[in-house]
Amino acid sequence: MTDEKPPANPPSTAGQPQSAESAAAEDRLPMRVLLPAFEGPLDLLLHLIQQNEIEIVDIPIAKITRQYLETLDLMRELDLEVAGEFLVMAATLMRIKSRMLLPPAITAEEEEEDPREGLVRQLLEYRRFKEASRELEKLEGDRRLRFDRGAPAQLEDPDASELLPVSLFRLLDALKNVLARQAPAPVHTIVAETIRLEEAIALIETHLRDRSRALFEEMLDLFVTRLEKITAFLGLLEMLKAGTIQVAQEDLFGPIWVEWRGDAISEDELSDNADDEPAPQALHAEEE
Amino acid sequence: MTPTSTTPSTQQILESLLFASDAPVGLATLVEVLDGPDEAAVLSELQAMARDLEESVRGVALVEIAGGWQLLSRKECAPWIDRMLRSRRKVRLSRAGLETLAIVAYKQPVTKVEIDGIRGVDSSGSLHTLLERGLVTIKGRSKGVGRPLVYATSADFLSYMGINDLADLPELKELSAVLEERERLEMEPVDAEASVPAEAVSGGSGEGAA
Repeated sequence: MTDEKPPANPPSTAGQPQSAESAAAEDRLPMRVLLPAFEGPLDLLLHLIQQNEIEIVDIPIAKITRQYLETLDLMRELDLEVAGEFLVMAATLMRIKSRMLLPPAITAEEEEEDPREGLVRQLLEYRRFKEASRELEKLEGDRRLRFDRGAPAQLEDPDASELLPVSLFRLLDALKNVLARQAPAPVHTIVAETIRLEEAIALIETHLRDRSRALFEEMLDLFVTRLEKITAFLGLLEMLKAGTIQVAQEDLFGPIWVEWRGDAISEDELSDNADDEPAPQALHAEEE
Repeated sequence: MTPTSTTPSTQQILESLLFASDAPVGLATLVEVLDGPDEAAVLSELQAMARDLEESVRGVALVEIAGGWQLLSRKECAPWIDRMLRSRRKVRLSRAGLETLAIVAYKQPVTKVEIDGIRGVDSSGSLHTLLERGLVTIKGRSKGVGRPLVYATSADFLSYMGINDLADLPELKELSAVLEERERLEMEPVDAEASVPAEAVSGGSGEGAA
């Protein structure tokens, strides 16, 4: 990306190398080949609106629809993948267009809504966030100019617990119990989004961060379906392996606790540090 | 000035603590570790240190970020550091990623369906990337139908964007303001009240319906 200019002696500080190319691409070209990848149908519409220099609130729907369809054709010709959402929007545009052709409602007691209303709102809303994303991009760019140290910090010392280790089999048993207890309740089947492993892990993490320790079963209660619970279980194993959690129980057959260990590196390192660090004395003495 | 063999000054200890950490360190942590001066005292030490670093034009600066304090390199030095670290840099977020992140940042807690609704496209991929990079976390589940997951930004998000608090995000344009602007626009142009709806393909203005 930035290879065109391996910085000469003092790498030129000025300028904003990365955005240069994208800015050039956004420059209004007189041609109609518009090849910035569109993030979606709304993005494409905004682009067309901007290109035609018209107001979002008053879209000449026929013209925009035609250009929109032309762009889709072009995308197909170029063998770009045209996602389903683009087609849905095409249909929406055509529907609006045909409704605009109808004479206004007969006894328009209440003002009839502009057929474009919904679309306009959607575009405005999308544009707000698109603008916000540009702001974030600026922040990101600025922040990337400042480097921090690369080493992992180890600031917290998760308090050692007096719990006993649990074997994997006990864990599996516990899972079995949870699954068994899940009665075939009168559930209204809703097509649930299946949860990803990362998502399960993130959810567990959030839950544990709040209370640092939770019961295994309570943990799995966060997950609804059997599949989700299993995913969560795999997540727990993953986290165990990474050392971000540990499991323990108060006594054999007692409830199993899942405990947040944070981003701790490893047990040994922790205790090492804790041990040979002589308590810093009298730091407050702020003498000359 | 000259380092003595005895107790280091608070200033020195603070500097060493900040140096030893690669993440922002909260004021509370510093106070606790120092175990002496109170919060106000530590804060003024930090501010003094930040000023010193700034005034003596050093290569690092002390920055208040993500609810803590951190030593970061000066922006102006970035090209050289880049040259040294080159391959180890994380890629910037894609446009889709930034859009998704913006929606999460301003609307949190937010579900995927809401995000998709605003963007008009499926955002699974972007969300996944953001989760993986630790910029977004799952806050829990909504009580709505299907109990969808709700997403929020993480503490790392603040650090990634170089801000101290969510309140420091640039203000989001109010939708109501946008709509008012629109009403104003509608008042003005009183074209010939479309007796014949602009049917022509080259629609100059698709006014038509009120």
